[in-house]
Amino acid sequence: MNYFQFAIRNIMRYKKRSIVTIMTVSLGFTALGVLGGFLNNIFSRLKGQAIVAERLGHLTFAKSGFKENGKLEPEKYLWNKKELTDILGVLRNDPSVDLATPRLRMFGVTSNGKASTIFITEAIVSADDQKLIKTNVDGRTEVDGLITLNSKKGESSDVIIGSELASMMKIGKGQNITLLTSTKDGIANALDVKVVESYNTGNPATNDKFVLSDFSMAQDLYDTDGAERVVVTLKEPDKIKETKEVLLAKLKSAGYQLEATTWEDQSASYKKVTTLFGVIFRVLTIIISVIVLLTVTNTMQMVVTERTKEIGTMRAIGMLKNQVIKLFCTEGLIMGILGCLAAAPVLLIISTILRVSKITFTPPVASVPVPLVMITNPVNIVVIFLLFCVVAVVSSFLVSRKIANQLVVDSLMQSN
Amino acid sequence: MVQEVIAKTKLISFEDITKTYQLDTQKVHALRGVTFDIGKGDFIAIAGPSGSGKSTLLNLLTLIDTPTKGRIRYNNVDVDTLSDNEKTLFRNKQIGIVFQSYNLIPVLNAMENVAFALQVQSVSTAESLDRAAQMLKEVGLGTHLRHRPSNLSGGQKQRVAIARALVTNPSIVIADEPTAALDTKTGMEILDLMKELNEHKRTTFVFSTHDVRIINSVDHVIQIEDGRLIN
Ligand SMILES: Nc1ncnc2c1ncn2[C@@H]1O[C@H](COP(=O)(O)OP(=O)(O)OP(=O)(O)O)[C@@H](O)[C@H]1O
Ligand SMILES: [Mg+2]
Repeated sequence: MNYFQFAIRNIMRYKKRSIVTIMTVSLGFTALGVLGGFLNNIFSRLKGQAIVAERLGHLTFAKSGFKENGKLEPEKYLWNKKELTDILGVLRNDPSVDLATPRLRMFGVTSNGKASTIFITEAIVSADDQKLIKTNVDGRTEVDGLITLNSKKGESSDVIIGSELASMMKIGKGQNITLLTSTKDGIANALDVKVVESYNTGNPATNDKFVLSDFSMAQDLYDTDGAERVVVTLKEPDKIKETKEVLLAKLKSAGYQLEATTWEDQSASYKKVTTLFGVIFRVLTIIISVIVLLTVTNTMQMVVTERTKEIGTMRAIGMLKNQVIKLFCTEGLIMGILGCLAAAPVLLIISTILRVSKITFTPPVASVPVPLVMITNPVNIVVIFLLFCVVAVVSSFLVSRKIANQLVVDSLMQSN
Repeated sequence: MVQEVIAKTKLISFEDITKTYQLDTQKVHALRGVTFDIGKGDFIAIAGPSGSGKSTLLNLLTLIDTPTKGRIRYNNVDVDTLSDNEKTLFRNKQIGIVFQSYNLIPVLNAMENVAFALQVQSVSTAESLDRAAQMLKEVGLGTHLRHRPSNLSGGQKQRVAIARALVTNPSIVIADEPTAALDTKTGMEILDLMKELNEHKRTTFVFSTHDVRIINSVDHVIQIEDGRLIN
């Protein structure tokens, strides 16, 4: 008779209480599993939003200092044609790079002839952007309804604008707007462009000012043949940190001292949301663990009280205090494991129902509804699993330690 | 040889043992200075009226309780110097305990209950079960090895308990009213079994009893009354 078998038999003996313990752990596990699944989904959608919809790609390369001072003195951070060609060459030749595409960003005022408002334009190379919007994010390749410019039409003055901007300006498909901005040298410049489409950028902060424009048009408007940034997507986005360093080093040996920022560093909303929800999740984890701990301790207490005389007998026969505690901890551990295992099919069912029922919701800091599904992260599941096993063992430990330390004669006196 | 002679003469000595319980504000004097020796191979009944201190005395003998005053020596070792773990291991190896209400572990069958005493001192499962089965045969339960306690009669349960007490080859078996829960006939059978084991294995037996018939059939009886020995 080893501890495991002995523990199993005792668990079977107090069926009702064991079921209460197992169910408690199971409920806690399910709650955290579902919550964690939702959060992972939100995080993943926001990630897709940042990488694809906001066109951040995985990495953005620019001249050192661009991130800090690029807005103040944009002309200082502009590459000329040769520099851009060199840099694109280095990046595109690297096996870890999936796509490297030049970018320009300009700010200004847009007008429909009657009203005007501010705009930001991100100038993209349409062929590259076709590829970028198909970037795989956590196994998904499409962000719903995402569109880009189609260069094959050869209309470099086509733009796509944010849906909120379109409705503010009362601009429909095919209508023209004027973009007022300045060249790199600060000379005012204006251009009439045709709105071919409007779409929800997914971010309320940009949806009312965003203009997606053609790169070569933007070069004309800005009076440059270079670019200020190169956006890169990677074949292995999980290795973003290492790849970033490798690429920077390669560029440096080609004579370019650049800075690179990850999509995460650039997307303020992603960081805020994940930090906030991370904290909420941790607090809930603690609360749920405490509830599980108290409930399991309570049921364990009943079992241990009922078995006090038996514990006295085992101690009298020659079982050491530690062995008694070990026995109860084994019982707790087994019930903890069973509780977690019992939760697995429940999680699977909930996850399947959500996937099939196609419910959508709008996550915070986003304005596009996304499917309400769970994305189960194996690491999270393992952590929750270990957590509840520890909780169950701690409950058993606390309860059995008291009885094990009691005088054997007192345990034996217990009448039942 | 010399050691054996010494051991035979004296296994345990109680030197002026006092046990006082504190019940709320009242002191209960369960034992008031008890002195006696137990020799190896003895077969001793402790008799006395209810509340006279029999259980108290046996609990001190089994080292599950400690005296308020006085010294208990096992093989000349002062047990007061032992730690809790040392006492537990000593009990496991040297003392077999039989309880009035059997105290078998309900989830274990007869053989496993007996083997349990060996397994806690880390004898392998296979060997423990082997020795347990052998011991159960010796107490006449060879056909009930796999019965759970709930499927055994009182007498059978007490046989299992005796087997459990003996399986570790202890130098002494201590039993608090081992026959009190049994009918007279079964009680006498249990007594005969203990006598037989005492004669065969030279295991020392100390037990308490109320039963006049048992007292009359035992040579060595310690009479206790109001916490004092009388004889
Ligand atoms: N844990 C305790 N706390 C307080 N008093 C106790 C305790 N255990 C025993 N006593 C008292 O000590 C005295 C001796 O009790 P003990 O149980 O040793 O008697 P006994 O001879 O075994 O009696 P019985 O034949 O009824 O079993 C009694 O007065 C009893 O009430
Ligand atoms: Mg008694």
